[in-house]
Amino acid sequence: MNSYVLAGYLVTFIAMGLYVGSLIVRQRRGRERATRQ
Amino acid sequence: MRSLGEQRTLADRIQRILGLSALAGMVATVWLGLFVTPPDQFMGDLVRLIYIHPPLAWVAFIAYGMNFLASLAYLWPRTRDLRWDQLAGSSAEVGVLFTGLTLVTGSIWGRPAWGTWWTWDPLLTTTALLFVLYLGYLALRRVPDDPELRARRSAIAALIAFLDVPIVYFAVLWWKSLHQAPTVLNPTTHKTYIHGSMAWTLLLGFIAFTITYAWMVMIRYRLGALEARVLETRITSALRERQLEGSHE
Repeated sequence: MNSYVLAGYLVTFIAMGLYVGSLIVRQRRGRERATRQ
Repeated sequence: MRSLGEQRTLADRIQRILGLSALAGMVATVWLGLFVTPPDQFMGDLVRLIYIHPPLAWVAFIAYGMNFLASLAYLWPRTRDLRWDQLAGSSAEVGVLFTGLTLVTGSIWGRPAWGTWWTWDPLLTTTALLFVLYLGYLALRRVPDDPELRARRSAIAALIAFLDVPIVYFAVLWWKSLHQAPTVLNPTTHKTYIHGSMAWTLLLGFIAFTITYAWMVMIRYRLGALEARVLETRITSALRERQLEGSHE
């Protein structure tokens, strides 16, 4: 596998995964907080 | 009329369906892009970056288009609603992520193709400007102020930032550029320079990234609404406590 191609795919999917993962975690925490209130 | 609980369940279900579709689309795009499609006659395996780089740029355009429309809807007196402002902010945030990734994947492609990580080419420069403009827009949104005033200020900034979007799109046609002109439906020749399994995989990439955008914006929008509700409840309970303290004194 071409290392440039691999780097491009890895950077893209890691960044998107981290972003969407952080959103989902924040959404869950927000819901828990809203329920406690 | 649905109850609040039912609405939440329906939105949760839509979010889950979008998430699963995005994941399936991405897995298929990566599998086809890396293992099934053939290498290009001139670029060899480097062409495999085409299945992610143009879809990332496409989604950034969609995100800023949505930001522009939502900002217009907020500024229009008949449709003025803070939910439009929330949608505009959510879309811009996802757009900035995708613009950043467009720049990074373009740079990774540029190194072996052009021999440099970065050059002040018209397309690259205007895209970098787009990234900075919307970063500024997101920073402006975080300046604390009255929600209505902040929304109006942000909507005006969004309309100004959007001026760069058509400039980025036409940059390769207006000026001499290292970057190639559009591969699909080239505006000058009206031709498409990709065929067969490569074309289908690219199309799948566009669809998968668009669904991913919709999924991300939906989560971000709902998160914003949830945070606003939590803040409102906190303020209301703090005011009530203050009133109770006052009545005891």
